[in-house]
Amino acid sequence: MQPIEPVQRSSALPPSGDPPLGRGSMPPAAPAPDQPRKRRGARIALTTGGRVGLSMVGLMLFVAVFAPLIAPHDVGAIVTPDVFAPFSAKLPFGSDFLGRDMLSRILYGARLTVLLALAAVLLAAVTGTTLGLLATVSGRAVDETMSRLLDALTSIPSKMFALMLVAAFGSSLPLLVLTAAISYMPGSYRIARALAVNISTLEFVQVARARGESALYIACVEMLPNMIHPMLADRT
Amino acid sequence: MNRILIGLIGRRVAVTALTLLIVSAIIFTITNLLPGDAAQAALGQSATPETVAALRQQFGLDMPAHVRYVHWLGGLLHGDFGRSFSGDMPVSELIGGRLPKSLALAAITTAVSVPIALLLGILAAVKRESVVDRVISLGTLSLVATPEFLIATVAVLVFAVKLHWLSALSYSGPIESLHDFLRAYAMPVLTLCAVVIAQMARMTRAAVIEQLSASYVEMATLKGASPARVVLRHALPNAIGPIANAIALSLSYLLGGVIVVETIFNYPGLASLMVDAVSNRDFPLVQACTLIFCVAYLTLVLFADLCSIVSNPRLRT
Repeated sequence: MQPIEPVQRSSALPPSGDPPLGRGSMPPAAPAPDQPRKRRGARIALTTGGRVGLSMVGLMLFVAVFAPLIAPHDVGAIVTPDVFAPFSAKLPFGSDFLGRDMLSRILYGARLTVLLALAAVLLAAVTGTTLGLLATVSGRAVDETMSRLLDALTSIPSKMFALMLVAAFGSSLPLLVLTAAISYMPGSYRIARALAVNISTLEFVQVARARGESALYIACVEMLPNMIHPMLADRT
Repeated sequence: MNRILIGLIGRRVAVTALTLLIVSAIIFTITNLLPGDAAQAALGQSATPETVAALRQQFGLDMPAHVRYVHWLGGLLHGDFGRSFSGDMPVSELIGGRLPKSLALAAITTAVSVPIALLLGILAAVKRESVVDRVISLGTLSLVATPEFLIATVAVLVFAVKLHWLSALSYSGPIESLHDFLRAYAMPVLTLCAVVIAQMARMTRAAVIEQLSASYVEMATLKGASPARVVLRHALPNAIGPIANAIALSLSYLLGGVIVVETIFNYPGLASLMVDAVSNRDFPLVQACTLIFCVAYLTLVLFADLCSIVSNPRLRT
């Protein structure tokens, strides 16, 4: 399958701003003491869309962390006797069917949503990448087994799977995070494995293998840094 | 090439069977972990220990798990899906009533969404970085981020409550005319299309953009080919692989992931049957439904891979 060029999304994290390796600290071949060192930490250049996305993400993170301080009322407190009140100065988002302040409830709810989404995506990405790298550097048998297992996991519709897990184990926040992570992990695995397989055919990996480096070294030091950028862009 | 294709299909069918086996084992394990069981769910209020034990023996639930699994596998090889605990009918009858409706909804959604998604994706890719492209990209991004129950609820609010064009309970009564057909299917298909078109259009756009930056496209343009010919005759056949993969992934959602739409519009499909089966702890039905969803997904993936291989001779090894 041809790799798809990642589309620049306005809500994606900003691309890594590291200057290319070697520019800042290369030892000059011919002594040139006047050669100025390029500044490390060059400014990250963002498009307008990137800035908008960054500000939206920043706002959500701010709300998630500081919700108890910002919310005008407590999350369960019944504030007004008018149910379904419209927008007003006192209740910026109106009230729900019991008379509770919607703005406070949305702020507290955003906390949980951001936490859940962040934890699940992180867990899925880390697990998927690890398994993908493991599958690539290990032999063919391990690769095939893991691919078949994860294909089987992908073919179960994720909503059904989540339903069954919740019915089996009760619904708690850690279980929700785990369920979401399990649903997204095969996709992350497939992307990581495709990228790793592409990289493992390049010469520097062959050289590392000829040097006798261990599989762990090859996976972490040779392959992983070259995969991070496409992985971050493709991760849905 | 025929021999290659047949060999490939044979290999894939064998792998599919293996994957189905793994999936059935996973589902069986999870459904066995569910608290309560079919006997208790069936008896409900009138469950005394003796009646539960008797019913359990009738259902065959007193045998250990692996024995039940082997029995079920044996029945499957004979084409017998088992007998539903809660419905007391053969599972094949229950599924046979619902599967055509699910397939109909999926087919109509596919017929509507694939051409529109391809059109939008190719248009956005050709007119990259223009107003058209930005509008399409922003629109599809917003739709992908919106949950489908929100789209469904807004659709019901707008079309049924405010405008009175359609009824909120879409699937009621037999379908005898085009008007009935539109009335029954318009809103569920609209909701599903919104979700599916957004995903497919985004990936189509990415695939075509990648092809348009290749050197053979530049050569074709320099030769004097019209833009339409360059896109349709040169770039698009090479982009079919990723596009087919994207379509397969999006369509595999249409059988099993439509539970939300089926619940909101009260559509009698396979997904709501499976949800009811899970809450009744009805093992044979749950297993059978899961197998059907998996077969559908694997068939779609096989078809997408076939498209990739036909369009890209380098993959035919």
